[in-house]
Amino acid sequence: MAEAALGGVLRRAAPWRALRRSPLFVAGAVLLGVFLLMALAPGLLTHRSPIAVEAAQVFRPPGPAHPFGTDRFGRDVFTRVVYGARVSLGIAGVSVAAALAVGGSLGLLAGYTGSWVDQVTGRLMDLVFAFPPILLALALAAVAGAGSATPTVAIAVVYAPLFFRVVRGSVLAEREQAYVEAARALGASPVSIMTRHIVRNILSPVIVQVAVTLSYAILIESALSYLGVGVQPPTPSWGTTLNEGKEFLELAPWVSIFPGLAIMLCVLSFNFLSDGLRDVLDPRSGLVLR
Amino acid sequence: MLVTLLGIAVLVFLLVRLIPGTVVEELLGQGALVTPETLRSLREFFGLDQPLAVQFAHWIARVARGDLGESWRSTRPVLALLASSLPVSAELAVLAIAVALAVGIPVGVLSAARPRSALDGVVRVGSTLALSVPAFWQGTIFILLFSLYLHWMPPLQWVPLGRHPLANLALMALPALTLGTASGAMVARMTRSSMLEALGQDYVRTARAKGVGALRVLGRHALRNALIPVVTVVGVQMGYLLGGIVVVEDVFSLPGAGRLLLDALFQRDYPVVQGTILVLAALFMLVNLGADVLYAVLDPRIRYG
Amino acid sequence: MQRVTRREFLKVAAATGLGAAGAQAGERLAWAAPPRRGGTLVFATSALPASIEPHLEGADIWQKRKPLVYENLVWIDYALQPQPQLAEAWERKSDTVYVFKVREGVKFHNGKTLDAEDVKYSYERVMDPKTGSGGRGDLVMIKRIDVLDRYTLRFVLSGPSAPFLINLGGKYNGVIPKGSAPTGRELLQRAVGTGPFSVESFQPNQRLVLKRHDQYWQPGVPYLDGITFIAVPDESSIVAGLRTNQIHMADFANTLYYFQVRSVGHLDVIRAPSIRWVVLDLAGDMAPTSHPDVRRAIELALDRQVILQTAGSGLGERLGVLPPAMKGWALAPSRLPNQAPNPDEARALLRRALPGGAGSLTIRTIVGFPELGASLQVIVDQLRAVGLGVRVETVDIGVWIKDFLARRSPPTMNVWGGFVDPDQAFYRHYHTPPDGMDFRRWNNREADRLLDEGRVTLDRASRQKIYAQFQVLMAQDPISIPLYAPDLVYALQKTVKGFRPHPTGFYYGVRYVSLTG
Repeated sequence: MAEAALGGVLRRAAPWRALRRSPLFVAGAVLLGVFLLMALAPGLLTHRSPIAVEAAQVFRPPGPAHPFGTDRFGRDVFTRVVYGARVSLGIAGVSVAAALAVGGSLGLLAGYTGSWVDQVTGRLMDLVFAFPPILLALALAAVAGAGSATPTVAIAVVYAPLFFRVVRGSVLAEREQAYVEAARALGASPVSIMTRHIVRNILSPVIVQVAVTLSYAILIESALSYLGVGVQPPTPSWGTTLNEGKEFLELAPWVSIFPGLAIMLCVLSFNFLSDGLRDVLDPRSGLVLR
Repeated sequence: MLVTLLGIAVLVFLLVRLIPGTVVEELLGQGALVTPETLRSLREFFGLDQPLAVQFAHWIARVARGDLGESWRSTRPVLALLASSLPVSAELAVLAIAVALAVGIPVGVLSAARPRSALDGVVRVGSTLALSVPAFWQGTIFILLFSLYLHWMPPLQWVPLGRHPLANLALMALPALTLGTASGAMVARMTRSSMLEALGQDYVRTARAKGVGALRVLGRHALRNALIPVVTVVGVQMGYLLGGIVVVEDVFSLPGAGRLLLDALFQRDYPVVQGTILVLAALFMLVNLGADVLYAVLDPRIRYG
Repeated sequence: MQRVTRREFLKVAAATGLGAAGAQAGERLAWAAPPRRGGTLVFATSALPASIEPHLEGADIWQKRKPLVYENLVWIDYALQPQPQLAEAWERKSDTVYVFKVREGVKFHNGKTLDAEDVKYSYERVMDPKTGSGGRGDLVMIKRIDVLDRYTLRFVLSGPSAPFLINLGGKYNGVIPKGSAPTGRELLQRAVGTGPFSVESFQPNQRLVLKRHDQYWQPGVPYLDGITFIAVPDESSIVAGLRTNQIHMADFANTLYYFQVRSVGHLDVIRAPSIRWVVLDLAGDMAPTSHPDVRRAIELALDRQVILQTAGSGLGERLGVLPPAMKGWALAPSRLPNQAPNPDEARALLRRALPGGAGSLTIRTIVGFPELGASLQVIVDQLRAVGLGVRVETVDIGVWIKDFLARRSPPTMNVWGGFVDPDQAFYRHYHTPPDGMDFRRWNNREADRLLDEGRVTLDRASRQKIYAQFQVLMAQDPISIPLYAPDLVYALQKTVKGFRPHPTGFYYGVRYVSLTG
């Protein structure tokens, strides 16, 4: 029994080395690292302010002084992109974390406990899930008012059911495993079984789902900004900068191109990470790495 | 399902009333001189002065009779507004999915046939890139490039499919393409991974060992099984497609349900918002149900007990 | 009742200096050759109204199109003067009595012939509080309307009123057949007016199709067979539509598109001064702007030229008080106090007014109004430079309107216009209750006095002096700081002839447009 339990843990230790060898994962991690640097220490990359208006520098094309050019207020686009990382990644990170926390814990509870708890939470999640995401986001955005909190709450609510389903499904599968029976036989309480054993073993699909959802979050944030209910100026999120640049796309395309590239590369990095993780952690992917 | 629908009705009713501002202020505008009496009488007219439960009861009673009410701003019946706008969105969705399937499945199959090759790499990166471009951005770029270099852009005035099929398709081509790329990328990835899984199965290896050609194996055995998760993905995609529809309708100025909803939301036109979301949610649920049924039909291993 | 013959009436009218169809004829004289008849103009904007009610729909996007479909006794010409329209002539019998001669032979879109009863019905509907029209306040000086005979109408006012004639041509009005809107819902989606175009079809928020009114009372016009208004939410798609010749004409809500559309090449791009202002409204009963010195300090801290250059992209006029397009009324900034930025004096004033040290205030802006947000960014910068911190609060338009109408809005950005007379601009907004609304809680007795006087002074020159004093007062104690007047931006294909931009932004100048080729 104990060996089975041990084996269950040991089997999962090997992948971390495999991850380091996966080119996808490495590429994704490096890219993400760059963006995290932008988000956490923007001052290291640029000394300018992202919101100060410089009337004399309006619409300068990319050049030595301004590598990404300037926008209609003379603000340095590179600086706006760097500071935008904090806002966009922050919103994506917080909203997905919230979605995971709420949806995931409800899914854990529902999957392990079963019976009426499963029924009730399942119904609730179905309700939210049945609501077309953008509509929910729009309505929530309008209710919460404009600002950074709005897309965060909207995205969290919209994606909680997804995590609920993923976690619940995985828990249902794990529940029947031998090591769980063993732990129960050994007298472990349901809570400790849930937290100490099951969580560890459902990490892989959840992590993959997190990576995928992060990329959706970034895109939804920019869509909400396009529709006017997202982050408000002058706060530089990638979505708002992209949207602002639309008004003079032909005159100063650089204002839109670089935030657009940032969104693409960021989403790309999340997807590479999740692909890499899936290849290594998910045995059904068809690749030899196990 | 009816319970869920009722839940949605409650949710949307409350949500929409939580949004600050009412139709009264929108109607009057900024510059009007209004006395408190005018405001009060207008609020009474729209029933906004009554307790929430009463307003909800009135509305839900009408819905049960099949009457979704009328727009507060234009007095057009909500059902009529939906009848003219839903077909537009539906057509957009169908065309987008058609594009997604037509591009995604072959690409996914080809990529799975040669895993880890250069083609596979291109497909994986390309599909991820296609997923990462925001829909409104794509739409704007398409319009800009087409109008600038080809001196053409999709007609701005809507023609229904029934009246002028060719003109209609010309109108819908770019929007469908814009919407279909992200879905197509998803389908390609899904097809690729489930094809790889199918190809890894014992029976396929047996067939190959017996000398059956790769293509025949792919076509007869693996493909059918591989398509099953694709069906689920399409079902799931509907929800995210809806988000794209709202944005694409705005960029290409299509008179669909997404645009109807957006306008109504900004004008605080509660009957239209509530009615549209209710109908869209119901359709959404139906599509998901349909996908589940299709899934069960295709995969003999799944039976709902 | 005494029947007034047409001849006698016109004699008197001529004696009192009022003419017939003056400026309208002037518009048509602008051609060298007679314009080509026919064609449908495709006109795109980013939004269209949800309803087309002549007296109830307050949206500016409807009111600017209304002159094509509905008419009034008078219309406001390009010099902001009332000119005869459905009234052939009028006579001011006394300070409080006006008699109008209604034009004969005018046909509504449904074929009915216009008479004085229709006119009385239409104005009384707007005046009736039960109707709920936003234009009621502009007609509050009318005590009663009497029909003297089939084509003669008498307005009796409760006192002398300078803006009376102008308000008869106001944006909330429109003459409809008598009894045509008993419940208020009849004309929400269809129109019965006397204008040069009738409404063929209307899809709320999306499409408004007008067609020529063949029985229009003015002979020979309009030239177009019809006008199709389409709403294209994304204005860059409008630029693409112009480039690919799908759209004949566009009116851009976002002035920034001026540069983009100018680069298209084969278009006529028109930039015209407008009677519209982007304003910083302060709150007279909320600290710190309740202190007049703080208000003045704010005014001195701002560099409005910079705000125009950056937030307004230089497309407009830096203000003063009234927009320069209000010719005859607007004072140039050089004649007003506190116009040049003076940060030092601002700081001194703040030090005196706020002994506790650095002050701070909240300024509101509205979601979906990018020009306001842009101006506010610059304002925040400029106020910070004199030691005043600003907290930006972005609210939804519904919330904004509710708080503004309830007189409890904090300092806020604002943008509005559509007035043609200083009484329309100032009275309701700045006069204390109960006669005005004083939305910003200025509570300025001197302002009240000037406004009351300006309202009843009929001599134009004296009125100009009064409102000049009012503007000086506003600049001295700025409860509102007008920043700049944004230009109107139109783009037309070269085949579109005869368009004339009107300072209000209303489409009077579209009535006699023609298409060549």
